[in-house]
Amino acid sequence: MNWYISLNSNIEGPYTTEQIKEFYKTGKINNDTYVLKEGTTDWKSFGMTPEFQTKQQNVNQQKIQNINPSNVVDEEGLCPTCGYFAGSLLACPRCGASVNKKISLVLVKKISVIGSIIGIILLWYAAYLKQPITVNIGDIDEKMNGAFVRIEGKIIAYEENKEKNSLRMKIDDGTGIINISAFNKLDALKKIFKDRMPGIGDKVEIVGSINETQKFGISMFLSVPERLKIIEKFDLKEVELGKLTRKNVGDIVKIVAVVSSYDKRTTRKGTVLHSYVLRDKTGKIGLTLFDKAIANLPEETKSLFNVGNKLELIIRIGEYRGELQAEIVDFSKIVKVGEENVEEMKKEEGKEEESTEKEESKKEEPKEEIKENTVGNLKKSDVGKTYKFKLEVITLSKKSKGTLLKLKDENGDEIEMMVWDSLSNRISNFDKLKSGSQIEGKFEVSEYRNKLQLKIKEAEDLKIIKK
Amino acid sequence: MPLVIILYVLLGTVVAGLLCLIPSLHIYNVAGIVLLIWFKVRDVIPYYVIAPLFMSMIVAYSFLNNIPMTFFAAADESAGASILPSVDMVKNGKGRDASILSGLGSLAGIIILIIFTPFFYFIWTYVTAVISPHLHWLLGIIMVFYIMSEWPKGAGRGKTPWEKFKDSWRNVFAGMVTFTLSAIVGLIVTTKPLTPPELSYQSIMPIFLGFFAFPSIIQTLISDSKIPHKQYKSKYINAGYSDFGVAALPGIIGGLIASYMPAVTAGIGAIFASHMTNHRNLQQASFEKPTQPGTVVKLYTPEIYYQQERVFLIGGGVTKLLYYVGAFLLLFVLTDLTPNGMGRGGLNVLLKPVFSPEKGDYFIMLATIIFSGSISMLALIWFTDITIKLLPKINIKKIYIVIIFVLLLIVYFMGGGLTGIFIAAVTTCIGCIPVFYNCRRSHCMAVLLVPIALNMAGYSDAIARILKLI
Amino acid sequence: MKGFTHFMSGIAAATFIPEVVRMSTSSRLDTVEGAASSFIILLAGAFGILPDTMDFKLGQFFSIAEYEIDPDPRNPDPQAMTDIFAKAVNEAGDTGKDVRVQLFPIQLGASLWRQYNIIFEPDEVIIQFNEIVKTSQVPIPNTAPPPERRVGRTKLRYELKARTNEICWMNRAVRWLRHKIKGEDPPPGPVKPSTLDILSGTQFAFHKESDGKIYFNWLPWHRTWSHSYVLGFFLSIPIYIIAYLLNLHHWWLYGLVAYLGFFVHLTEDMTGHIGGALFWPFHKPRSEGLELFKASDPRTNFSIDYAAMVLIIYNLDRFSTKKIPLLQTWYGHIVFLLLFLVIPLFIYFKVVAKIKEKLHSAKKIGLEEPDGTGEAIVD
Repeated sequence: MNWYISLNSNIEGPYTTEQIKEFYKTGKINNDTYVLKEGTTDWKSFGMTPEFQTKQQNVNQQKIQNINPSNVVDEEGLCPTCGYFAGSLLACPRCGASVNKKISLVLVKKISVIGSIIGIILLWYAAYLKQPITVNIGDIDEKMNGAFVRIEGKIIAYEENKEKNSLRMKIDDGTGIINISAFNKLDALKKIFKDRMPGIGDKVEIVGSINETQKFGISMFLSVPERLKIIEKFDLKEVELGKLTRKNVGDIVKIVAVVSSYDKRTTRKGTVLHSYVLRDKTGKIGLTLFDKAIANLPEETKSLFNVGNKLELIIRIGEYRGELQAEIVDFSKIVKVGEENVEEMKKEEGKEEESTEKEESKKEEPKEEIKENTVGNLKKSDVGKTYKFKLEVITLSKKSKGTLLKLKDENGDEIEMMVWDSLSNRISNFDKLKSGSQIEGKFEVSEYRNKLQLKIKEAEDLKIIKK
Repeated sequence: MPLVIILYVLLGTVVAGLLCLIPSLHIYNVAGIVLLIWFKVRDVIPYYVIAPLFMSMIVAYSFLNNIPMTFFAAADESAGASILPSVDMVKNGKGRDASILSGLGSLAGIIILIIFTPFFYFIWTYVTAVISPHLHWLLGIIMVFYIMSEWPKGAGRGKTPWEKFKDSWRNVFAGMVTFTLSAIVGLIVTTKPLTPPELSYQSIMPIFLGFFAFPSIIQTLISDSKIPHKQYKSKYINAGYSDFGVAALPGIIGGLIASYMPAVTAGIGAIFASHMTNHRNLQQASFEKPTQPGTVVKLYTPEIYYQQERVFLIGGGVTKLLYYVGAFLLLFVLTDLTPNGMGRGGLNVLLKPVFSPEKGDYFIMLATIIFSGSISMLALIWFTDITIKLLPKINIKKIYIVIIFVLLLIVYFMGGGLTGIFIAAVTTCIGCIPVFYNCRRSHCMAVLLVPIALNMAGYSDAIARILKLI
Repeated sequence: MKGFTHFMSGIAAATFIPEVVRMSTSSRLDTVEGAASSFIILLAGAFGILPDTMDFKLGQFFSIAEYEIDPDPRNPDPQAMTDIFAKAVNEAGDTGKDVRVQLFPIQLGASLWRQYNIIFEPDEVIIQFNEIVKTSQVPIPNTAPPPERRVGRTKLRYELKARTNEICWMNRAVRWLRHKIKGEDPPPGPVKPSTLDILSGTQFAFHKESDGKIYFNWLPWHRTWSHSYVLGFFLSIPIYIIAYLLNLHHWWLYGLVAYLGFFVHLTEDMTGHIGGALFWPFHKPRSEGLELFKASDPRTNFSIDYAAMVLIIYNLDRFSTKKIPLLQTWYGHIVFLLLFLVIPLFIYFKVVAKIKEKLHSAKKIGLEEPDGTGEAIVD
């Protein structure tokens, strides 16, 4: 008869009965040591094994039963050798005997550990390889909250806060505007860019996660300074006001002009507007500031707008009701370069304007002829050009910031046009457009995700012929 | 307008209530699906019903989710690590009591929310304003204590110090491994998210399904345990006012911590609350004269020990409601100090692109909670009774197999396609470690805790550089 | 005190240092590490809980007992257990050497444990097996072993006692302070029975004293080397070094804050029954405590936790955020502490604690767990 013994978490054997008895005598094992008869699966303590007991012990043992009530204790989780709870362990924590477990459990335990480590390595590698896709700001909707994307656009507003070591920018990619904030990263950005810090007008690329809120719109936090790259540094040119045309709308330029007049008025809705006219020797341009914007300015900045002050400003050319307007992009960069006598200036300019008008009336500015075209004739080389089209609406779908029109021309060729809300609000009867409506107008050919599209620059460019 | 709001509250309660009976389906998954539907029909649904609709959904979840959590959790001693009181009660035929006690706890939570309104406006706003610039290290202390407070579960058997250490530290080590792996996953996915941009609003979903839902399902599938069919339906629930009184304090503390601190769940909040309030030590209990022959002492176990199960269930209900509902309700506490509210939680993240609160909305929300909560409580009792009647006919394993497929579909279509499935697979492996190696499952919350704390502290760029994920 | 109490106390203590609070705000700029904020206060919490962590997660494994009592889960033999216990006591008495006994729990399920008591008579040790209990320590009725297998008794040749005669200079000082605060110690009563049920076991050490009795030391490895002010200082040295090498702003403050947390823990523990080996390794014996509170007393622990939270908010506001209007005036500080600290604690001690006491002394339930009446829905 051969036996195995469980000693110090190890199974030893086989030993003969005599050897086992010798081990007991020498103290190598005691009554509590578990022994297993070869050919069986039932481990018993030495003291309870009939083969090693005296007759009296044998009798007593029959009376002893497991005191743990089976309706409370679940044998399933216990060590078969000693009865201690092993749970999901593969070896009994008390006697060290191996506890048979379902293969499924053993597998799950092993897979969970190995799978976690391999999975994380693969996950990291996938993240390492990932290149974020470039999206248009205008295409960002609520489902993209948290999206990791790349955005390319021009910086239209820029503000450094040295006290808080922070930076704020607005980027415009032509389809929309996004706010970028870099909290506590200004120093880090300066280390990277040194004296080539981004500024207004620069074309930049930024990678990050979109944060969209209903209240504050779309923004992105620049948490990793290396994710901001300058694609094209903006060359700020100084221009004369007289040379500005509608083609310059959207441009950022530097001007030196005198504040020649000031008018304060209140709209029907109660909004207070401060209207200025800026003049230089060649022309003039209007500047309107809302009361709220003025109120937030420091006193020394407010005083810069006194009539007669000659200022150097960085402005963006805008348009309002057909007239060019100036929008100040950075109040902190306004510099007073002198003062002028406005009345004398107006008189001089009055004379110049007369003669210029006479000359201009002789020369007629050659009007740019906008040709008619059809969708089928468009090629990629037409991107950036403006044509006249007559189109029929196939479908309209409302997006978060505009309406996407699917259009076809008389030949049935289809094309899409995105009309942003800022424009569609100014197109009369736009809300009455439906499938089958007919439109015409001057549309610029553009490209989006490798497909040709049309876009309108001004509300007046689109006319609804048939609703 | 009030009638429209009431109708949508009812709708939200019914929809969420029914869907939350499905085991392993979380309310944030349901909310994501509802939000997707809302995007399509937003022109039809008035804007002012969004908040009441989603609030009613989350209230219903807080109540009705007790049913699957109570009745369909595995109680397999050979595969399991620990048995929750509710599961233990089901084993003893008292599943109905367990389910309803949790619901009563949630009901108490609603009462607490009402009573605490002045507290939220006049005290909590100041507390949050004070701690706001310190959130990063407050999250840090939560993590430090959470890790350091996991005590070795083994008895320390062995001949040498190393053997004793190994025996004791099994679960602690598993906890640390889970925490570390979860933190690494969190740092990777927050530094450079992998989800396609169009579905980013649900980018967290595959991660959480992997950490919590799939491991539970796997545990149930490989378990041999059966849900006992014999469940008692008694006329009275065994609970007294003192149970609610004792449960209220840890419930409130746990709920408040979880509702305000980012990435801190009800489970973590409850652990902190229990450390603060639950001081039992039978060593301090008294000994009496023996009543049984042949014995020497009789250990008197105070009433408060017998209360523990009931207090755990009621307190859990309070914490759960304060966490889910309270976190969203705090969004509506608009004061000068908190002009954008104090909202936290998954629902806030989901809804912030489409909704922002206005003054006066708080009381509409409170009314929504009361209305929805009342209906949900009645529904809980009714559905619990139906569940215990259907128990003999339910093959829970088959149901879970179907649920796995449903969840995989949700991950695929809403969580980023194959990328989402891959992320869920990785996090499932990590989520199985606490289940099968006997440590706290909340360690998986390191996926958010660690990145958020480090980001708040300004280390996000350092992490990106170290991980080479610029 | 409980771990959470030590943790919160350490953090609260650290917030009393204005520079520490300022360093912890996330908008801090005038530091070498720039805006990446310091987690300095974490050190106070981590070191606040460190002594007990070292004991329970490390120290106990180095205390190898000469005798182990690991009952057979299926067939525990209380007589054999008491025999081993007595053997250990007698050996300590016979040889004069310190002898330790380790007892293990009996786990029968994920949430099931066989409970047993160790009862100490002056000349006898008794082990009694009770019901199976859940992890909540609630007994399951009708699960006690049969009477013939419940109790074991063995006579001891030496008398056991719970209070030592051999007091060193430190114990003399502690006792003097304790008598000053509390008055003279009551005469020593019988050693209270010990209960062993859930999670981990327990260890006793026996030390023969000059009066021939055996001094009975529960958890001899607890609060020894780990609860030393000297060790705390040495453990904070690496913190100083790391902060210095990383060129952190106010590098010296990091080690100090860590030590502060450690110090607070040890000082709090001195209010209990077991003190600590406060000057280990220079003075190794563990001192007694001032016996002002019981370590697990819920009122004491909760009130310290609550006080810590209020003080943390108080300090964070006055040293950094300055949002609470009350704290912007000189009298506001007194009003704030009165309103949010003193009065709530007073209400807690006088009102809430009384209600809890009633709960504890409510009618005794016995071993029958209260159950709802009713019939099974499905059989």
